Amino acid sequence: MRPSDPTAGHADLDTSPVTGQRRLAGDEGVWSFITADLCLFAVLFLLFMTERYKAPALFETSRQALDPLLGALNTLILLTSSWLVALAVHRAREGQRAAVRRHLTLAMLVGAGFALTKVYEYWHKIDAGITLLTNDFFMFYFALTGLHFLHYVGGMAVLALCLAKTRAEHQDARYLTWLESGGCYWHMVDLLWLVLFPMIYLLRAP
Amino acid sequence: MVERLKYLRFLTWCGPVFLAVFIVFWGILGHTIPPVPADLPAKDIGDMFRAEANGIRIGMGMAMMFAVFYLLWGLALAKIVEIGIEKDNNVLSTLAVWGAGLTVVPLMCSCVFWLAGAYRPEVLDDTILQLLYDMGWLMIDMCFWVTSVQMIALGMAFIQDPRREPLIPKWMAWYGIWVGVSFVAELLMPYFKGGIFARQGTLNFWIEFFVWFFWIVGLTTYMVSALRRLEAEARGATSTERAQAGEGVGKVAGATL
Amino acid sequence: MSGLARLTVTRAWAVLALATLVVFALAENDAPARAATLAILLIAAFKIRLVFLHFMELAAGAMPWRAILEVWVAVVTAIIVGAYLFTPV
Repeated sequence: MRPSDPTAGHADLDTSPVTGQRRLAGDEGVWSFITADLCLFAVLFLLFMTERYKAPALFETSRQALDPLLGALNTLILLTSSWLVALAVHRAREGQRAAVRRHLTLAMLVGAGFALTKVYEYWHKIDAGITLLTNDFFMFYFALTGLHFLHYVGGMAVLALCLAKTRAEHQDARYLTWLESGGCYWHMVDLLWLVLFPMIYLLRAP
Repeated sequence: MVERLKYLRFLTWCGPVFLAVFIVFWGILGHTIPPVPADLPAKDIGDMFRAEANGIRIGMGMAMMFAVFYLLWGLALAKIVEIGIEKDNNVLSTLAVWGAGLTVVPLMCSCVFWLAGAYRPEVLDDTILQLLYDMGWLMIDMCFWVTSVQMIALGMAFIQDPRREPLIPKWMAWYGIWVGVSFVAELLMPYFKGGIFARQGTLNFWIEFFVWFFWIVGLTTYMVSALRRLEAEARGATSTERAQAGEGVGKVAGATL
Repeated sequence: MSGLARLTVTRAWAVLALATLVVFALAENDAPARAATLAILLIAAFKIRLVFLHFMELAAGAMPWRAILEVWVAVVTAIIVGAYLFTPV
């Protein structure tokens, strides 16, 4: 990681609406945070696959206890919520404050479905006597999805903050950077799930 | 103005000193880098204490002495925020001092448990020695949140720096926030004796401790240049003040400048 | 201009949703497990790229971030596909 160009952080201060040319959506610092997070998860994926390599039979039988329907449902939920946030960012650039509010509210409502599904799934597992101490697979299952869930909770909080700012603040470049940065974080939550779902639920042993 | 920056250069260098002493004395002499695995039988830990008692005594004693250097370094960071960035609100710099100071407490207290194990290991049972070794790790790992408070408060302050080229670059600010938040993985540590979340695990030891070490080193290098810039700014401000005052006083005062 | 941008985003979402349904269809069926799983992993990589290109707006090529994400998806896919293929049955 090299230090970012010191002037780049303030590039967002020139208020010229997006021309689409090589302009980064969001704050450079937030992107450093996203990069660090992605790297941590990449290491966790590597560790998961290493343990799976050591005990493929255990990982396969344990995996079959998971319901891929719930995983796919959550993928659709996060993708849709991400899409709504991306639209909100575009609406903000057009200065359509009401549309931004509408899209962000919808994104949070759809996003809330992820928590419902996840809580149902966890509750179901624990009810069946499966915890993170059951075996190595379920340690990873609970730890990785749990860590991702914490990111999700943070993302929902960020969306709420963006919504509050949309209501309260004048829509200047600073506000737009906030919205873009929050949006990129939310897309990262989505992006990580796009790996977690196939890796944990769908790696079928041949 | 320059007066306010006195001592800070010294305090800044306390960070790397703390880190070096900790790695050598706490880590290597004290047998915590790498941690003795939690899934080893009690007898192995008992034997380790009996064989290495003197090394652990020296290691932990020195570590306790230098643990406070983390507070000294943390104070320099908080002062850079207070003098260089904050205006009418010192909440973040205050939190940064408290976070640094409170971090010293679990560092010192955990050393006492390891020291207690090394005090008379020849008469203590293996399981008691194992308990003491476990308690040390539980204390140092599970008190992570005080350090997170310091890291997040500092990060939030650094990103509010209005300078065109911030005193501490944004990536470093966000990296610190990320490290502080990533410490939550330690919450899983009490459940495991093996695997990546155990105290000797890839995530909960090798990653979490070393991203923190890197934060200390990386931040220190930026602190040195931040102090230089703050000193230059302070001198600039002082000479303008004097020049303005000089005009009022007259030619003699002006000539001495 | 902006309407066009929104259309791109919506089109990306439609493709992503469709790909998710395809993945689900591939998940538990009679197709050979290895081929189906590899297809799922490659579709996942494709979906991740769609997300960072169109939702995170890196398609315009803001550097170094686009390069970082491209390398990340390549490395992660290589790890998972590689380990999957080399894991003894």
